[in-house]
Amino acid sequence: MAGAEAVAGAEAVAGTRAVAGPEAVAEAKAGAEAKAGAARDAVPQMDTQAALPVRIIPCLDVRDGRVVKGVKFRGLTDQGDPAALAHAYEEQGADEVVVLDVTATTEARGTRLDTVRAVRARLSVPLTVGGGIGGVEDASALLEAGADKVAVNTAALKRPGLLAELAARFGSQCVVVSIDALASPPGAYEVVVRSGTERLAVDAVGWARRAVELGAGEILLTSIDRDGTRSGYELPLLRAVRSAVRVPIVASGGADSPEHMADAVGAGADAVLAASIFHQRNWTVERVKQALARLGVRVRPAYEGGTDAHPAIASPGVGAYPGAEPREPVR
Amino acid sequence: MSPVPVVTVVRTSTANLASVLAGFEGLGCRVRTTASPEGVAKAERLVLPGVGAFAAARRAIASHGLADGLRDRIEAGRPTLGICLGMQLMAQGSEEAPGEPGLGVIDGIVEGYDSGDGWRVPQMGWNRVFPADGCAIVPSGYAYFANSYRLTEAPAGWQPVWCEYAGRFLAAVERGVVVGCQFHPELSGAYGRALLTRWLEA
Repeated sequence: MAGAEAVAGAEAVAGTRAVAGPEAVAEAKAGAEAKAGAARDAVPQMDTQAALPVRIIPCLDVRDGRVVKGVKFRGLTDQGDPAALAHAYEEQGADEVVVLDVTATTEARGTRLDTVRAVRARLSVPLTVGGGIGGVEDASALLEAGADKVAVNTAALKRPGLLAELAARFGSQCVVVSIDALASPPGAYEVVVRSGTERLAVDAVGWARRAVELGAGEILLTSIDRDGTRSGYELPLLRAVRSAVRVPIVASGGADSPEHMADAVGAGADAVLAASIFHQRNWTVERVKQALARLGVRVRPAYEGGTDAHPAIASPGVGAYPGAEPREPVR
Repeated sequence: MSPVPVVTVVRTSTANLASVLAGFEGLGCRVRTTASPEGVAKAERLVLPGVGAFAAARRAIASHGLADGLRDRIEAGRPTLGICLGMQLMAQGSEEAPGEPGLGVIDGIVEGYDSGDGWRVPQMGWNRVFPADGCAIVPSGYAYFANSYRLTEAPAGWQPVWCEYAGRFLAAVERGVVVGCQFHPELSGAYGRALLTRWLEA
């Protein structure tokens, strides 16, 4: 599809080396910040350049089976259908998709499962589902319906043992702890629930550390201060949690540009979640990836041809590891 | 390939299978699940998926009496695809569960990532895989991983697919139409569809 081709082109993926990714440079700033963190903190931090490509994760806020928040998305006749949107994002190069059910009342659970089934049928990248997961059975139902990971928030705060139960049953790689944090001066962050209306007097960094000890395999870290402000991610929060845990961190809240995303990566995020930048701002995932690549952030390249295998990946034996193919030149 | 390939997926626990089933359905396959030795023996194409813990999954296989059937069909070279923990179960054992034997069709012990050097664990995301020249099914490209354990040495008799995360590790192995993938082809978008299509057509 046209979008995927645009990404491939923009990443200067030369035709004969079309599978070579932008194995290029991590932003100098990012590396410097990571190293500064390693020197300062108890948890050793690796150079960003050596990590995996940064994951770009569109977030769908769903209520009663429909995507809420305004969606301006060209080429879709039904802009509020979660499955259609998720599929379109995958085609654009999304590395994962998150569905957050913003109603998630008891009555809505059947609808939520239908939504997950519908999204799964059209999505072949990982799907994380969050919102109103009260216990193991809720999580199990979502995983059975097609989620690959579940994001738990309030229920884990009420009963942290839930994280251990989920990890024991499904594995840590299925368990995302979703943490909503509010700046609580001086220089600290407090966990909040119910969209920030209820403060818990729990230190966000300490909760992140404990959640990981209990079995969470990833942290979805949302700054309530930044959410909806389009002023960028809360970088000190990311740095603080990054220094406390070894699991991947998904930055959330405040993104309005690829520059914001690059800043989050520099602060220690392994993935960036965004909603309005994709729904409302005419940014496609591929254009965001192009911009990130120009900023020196390593992203997963898209292949031409949408669902068809690119010729270069359709032929095996491109070369034996290691280093049979040259890395992309620095641009 | 028959007009409508039939794929049988081993279902031994509450582990999430929906993505695997959806992945094959999206390729036009008829998909079944089985937890019986007969189902494993008769399946034209068998998928051994897996999430969660090594010991629990291994015991589930044993309690359903599937271990011999899995070994037999792999040794006979019949189409079999192990995914993530499903690949690890094909090894001799895992650091995750000392003393719990794997199926033993792949030489090697599954090891955890070293926790001391700052790499994120689990490995969660897309990583580039490098098939050896003898590979016929696993393509080169970016595949989606979600794992804390992996094999690191090329086992005798298998074609290795290499990857790098806190050092070199095995992203996949193939021997004819028997394939073990540490990554998730069903979650690897167009790359994964290419791989699964080749396995179905092999």
